Amino acid sequence: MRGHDWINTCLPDELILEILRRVDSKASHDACSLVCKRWLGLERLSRSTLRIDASGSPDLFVKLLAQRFVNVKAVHIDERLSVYVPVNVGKRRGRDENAMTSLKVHYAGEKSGSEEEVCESFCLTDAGLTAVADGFSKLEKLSLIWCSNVTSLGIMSLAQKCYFLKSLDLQGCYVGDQGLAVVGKCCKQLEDLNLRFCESLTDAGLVDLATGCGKSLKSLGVAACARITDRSLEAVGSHCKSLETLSLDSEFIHNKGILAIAQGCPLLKVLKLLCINVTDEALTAVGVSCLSLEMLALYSFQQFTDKGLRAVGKGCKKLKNLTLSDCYFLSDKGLEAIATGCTELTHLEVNGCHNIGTIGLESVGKYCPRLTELALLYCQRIGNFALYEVGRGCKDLQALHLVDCSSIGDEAICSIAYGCRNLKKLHIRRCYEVGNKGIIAVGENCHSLTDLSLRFCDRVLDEALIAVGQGCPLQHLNVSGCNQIGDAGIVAIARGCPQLSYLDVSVLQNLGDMALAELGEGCPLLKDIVLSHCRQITDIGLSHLVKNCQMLESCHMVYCPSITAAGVATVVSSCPSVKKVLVEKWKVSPRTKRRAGSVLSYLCVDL
Amino acid sequence: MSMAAVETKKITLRTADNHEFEVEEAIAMEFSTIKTFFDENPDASEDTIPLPNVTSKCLSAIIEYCKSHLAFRARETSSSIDEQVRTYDEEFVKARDNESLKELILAANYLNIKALLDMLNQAVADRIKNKSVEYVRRFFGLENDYTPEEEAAIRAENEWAFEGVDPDDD
Repeated sequence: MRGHDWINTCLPDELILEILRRVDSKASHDACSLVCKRWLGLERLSRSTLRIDASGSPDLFVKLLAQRFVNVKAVHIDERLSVYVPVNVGKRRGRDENAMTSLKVHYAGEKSGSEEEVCESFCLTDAGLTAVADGFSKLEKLSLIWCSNVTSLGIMSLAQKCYFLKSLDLQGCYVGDQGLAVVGKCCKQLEDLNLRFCESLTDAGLVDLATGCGKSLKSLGVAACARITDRSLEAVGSHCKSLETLSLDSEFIHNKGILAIAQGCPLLKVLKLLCINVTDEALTAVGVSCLSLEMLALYSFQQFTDKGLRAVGKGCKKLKNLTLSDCYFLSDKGLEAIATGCTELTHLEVNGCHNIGTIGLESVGKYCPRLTELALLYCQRIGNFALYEVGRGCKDLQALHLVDCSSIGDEAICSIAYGCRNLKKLHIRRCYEVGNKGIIAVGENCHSLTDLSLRFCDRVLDEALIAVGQGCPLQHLNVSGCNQIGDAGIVAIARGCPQLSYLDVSVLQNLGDMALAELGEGCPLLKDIVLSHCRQITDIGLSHLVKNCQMLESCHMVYCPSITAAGVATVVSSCPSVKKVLVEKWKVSPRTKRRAGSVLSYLCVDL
Repeated sequence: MSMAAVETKKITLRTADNHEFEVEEAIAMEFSTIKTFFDENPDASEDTIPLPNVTSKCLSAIIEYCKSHLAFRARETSSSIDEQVRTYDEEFVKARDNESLKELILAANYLNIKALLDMLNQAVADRIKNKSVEYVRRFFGLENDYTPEEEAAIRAENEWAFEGVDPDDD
């Protein structure tokens, strides 16, 4: 509208900044940075998170970034992908952009020549960490993942400059006790600390930290740190009264440590334990003292019995989320005690607890009406009747995961379908008794289902998918390994589920080009597709697919003998947003490699 | 003295296009600019306040917004009220074209009405979400001042610096 143009130029910087801060997707941020130079400056000011993967010279990188993005509050440095990038990659134009474009991290397959080169993974050093501290004064959150050249010195200079640090995540960094002690002294707002594979840390460091900033600490994680023992936990129990989350993975922790936490941290909400030397005594203490507990996860608990679970069921009335993984001695009685005691339960996972059977799950169905998510993995003893009770009692169930539950079959799935109409997510893997009948019932009754995964359930046939296509607004479908499914089933999905964005039809021997053509027509929102091991799919099917699926971002098509270099080229050239194509190296023509080297991932057949 | 006899105080506001609006004091106080003015000049309450940066169309929309939100706040807080507030806000912006949204933002900024400004900023952010660069330029009436080389450099920078930078990315 003419005459109103003055408004556009009058929108002041701070308003544009406020708008940019509310833009939440990367694509939108990128678009905003390209609008004009003024916007570039404002957009860079509005970015608050940075991530730096392993790169050519991280110390330099950090300095460049600190100049541009001054409002960054969160920095995430991950050196696990230390790629051997030769620094003079290509003769690219542009001034100091030279340094930057060569710092890209991708699996561009041609590294065969440089294997013999000196394997210097260009790691962040203490100097680099100091640059982070100097550059990002408002830093609140820092993650250093496998930055193996960082030591206490770096952490000390960081702590001394970044008083606002709230969250620190150290994985695989050889940081010593002095570093942590200085953090305790300086970072009085620290709420969140995660230590994993920090092999040079001992009790002294963690005790000093707890003494220094224990008041603010809300969340602590310790894993694979061999020199951290109960002594640290006792200090945490004395000083960290606000602790809400604790996650421990260590064989060097015993009952004494857990007791100290249970008794010292009354606000504990989340507890995750993978400590093989802890016994019922500790769990009983949790049941007695941790009355605010909402989430409990017990992994590989070889020494636990129902006694511990009974104490939890008695005391932790607010428990919402329970995971029991590989706890061999827990039986139906223990689960019953939880079900009757913790009626607010919303999430339950039972994984490989071979003594928990149908009766335990029945009580969950009877006493936990608020259950929204249930996962049963490797539970061969749980039978159909368990899910009958769940279907009757848990009307709010939204997600069900079943893996390797050989006694669960069609009756169970039908009970769930009839009873849990709000089901959104159903994942079934290798439950060989599940077949058409159950899945047809799902298609007829679960009209909110958006995520369906039936892997290696070879009794499921096309009819099941036809019912699902008619009844369920799927966005995510995985039927990998359901050998009897063919074109008819996938065509029904293509016609019935226009919102489909993820599809995995790998290992389906009977699937042909017709299905792909229909998918191309019916599912324009498709973003990810897995076609590996589909022997009958050819280049023709692929071209029909990509003609309309313009939003495709990833395509896996290994072991497809009828797909050739032409098909690969078609995928790469037709899909503007494609980010990853997994294919055999010899199927990529040099021209395709030039056009799209960065998105191609090759199957490693020679190890 | 009965309640009916107490007159609610009215404040007069004059817009850029010379329309005069009489609003209740409670509503005028939602405009922090005006509130601050009265805090500093308690005797000025009888005068007409000029608002040279606000048109009558904007002001009437803003008054309607503040009236409704005051009414919402007077009721007990509950999730259904929150739902109604959300619906009201959605409808308030839905029918407006981009130009009037921008006018409203400038007016809300000038009058310093934080809640309205936040809501409008979010609405604009939502409208430019996932749109192309061209669309954003047209929306704000801005010219591209990059050379092709500069533009390519920024695109490259966006790629390497921000792989997975969005806060939820773990």
